[in-house]
Amino acid sequence: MTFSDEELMVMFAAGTMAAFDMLYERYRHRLFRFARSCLISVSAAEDAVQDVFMRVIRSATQYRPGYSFKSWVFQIAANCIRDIGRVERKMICRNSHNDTSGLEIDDRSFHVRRIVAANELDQYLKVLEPDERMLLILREYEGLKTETLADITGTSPGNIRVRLHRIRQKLAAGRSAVDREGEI
Amino acid sequence: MNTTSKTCLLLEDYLDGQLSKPDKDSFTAHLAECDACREQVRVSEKVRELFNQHPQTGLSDDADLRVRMALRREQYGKEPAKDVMNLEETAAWLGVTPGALAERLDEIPAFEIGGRIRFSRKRLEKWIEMKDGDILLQLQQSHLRKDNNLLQFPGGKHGKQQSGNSGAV
Ligand SMILES: [Zn+2]
Repeated sequence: MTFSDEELMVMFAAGTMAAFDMLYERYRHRLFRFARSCLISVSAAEDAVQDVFMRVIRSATQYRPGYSFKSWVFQIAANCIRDIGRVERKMICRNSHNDTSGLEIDDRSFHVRRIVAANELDQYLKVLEPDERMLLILREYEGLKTETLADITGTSPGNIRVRLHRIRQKLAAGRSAVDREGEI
Repeated sequence: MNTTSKTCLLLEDYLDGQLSKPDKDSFTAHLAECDACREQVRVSEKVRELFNQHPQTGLSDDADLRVRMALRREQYGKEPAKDVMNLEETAAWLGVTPGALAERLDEIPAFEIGGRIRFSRKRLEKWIEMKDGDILLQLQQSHLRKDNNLLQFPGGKHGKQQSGNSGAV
């Protein structure tokens, strides 16, 4: 018998610090990879991991026993990453006269994209808005089900299906646009 | 692109490998005719393949330490839990009373330095994971009982409960 995430969270809410450490152990790398995929810098992703667990500590008493810990913690992570991402993009735009080689910046809309030295994955995903990128990562990389994604984003599974559909359409279109550019 | 049909709605379940045999068969047949779904599957496979080709590394040891320290300060409002802890500190960390801990000492990895009992946090973490927490839960339950019974410590009783199921789990 291994403690489930949910049991550990209930124990932590009741005061068992060790239970928190075990949850941290289980989720730290996973949440870091998630944050790293969504954000531009490593340090921003590290901050995100810290913020997520800070919020877990602070809102431990709000955790409803029986609710999926994974959904809960990814919901918190999505919020943290959104907040940090906004700040990160603003900072980069503000400093865009400095060294931002490797980034493509659009000051007005805060679009910041890794272009130089970006790997094929970043190239492929660069047509997406931050929120779209995050949803796609949760779906294709974290392998979360549409129901879980609906929980995390506070919408319905139907809405998630529609959004995923649009995101993939956008990727398919972006892909062909890139291919066409290459042909010129 | 053709218009989406009812069968198109099965796409996400198909990608998850969640469809029953008949549903899967009908969706596979549908794929042959539906450009939209084929494109969705193609993009999904492409993205998953790219994620596999470019795996992210985990949290670095340095960052891990920094995060742990910050979290400890948040939890305890003071210094982080030490690598080596005494009975009092270990009890606080486990969320049980020192008395409950002392009573089950023979089952918990501990060592002695100069006649004093000490616990290694790393070893405890491993032990909790290996023991799968059964003992920890019992300790916590006895702690909760103690809260209810006001210092009336349930001596002798829980030795019998040990092998039975602990109900809550
Ligand atoms: Zn279709």
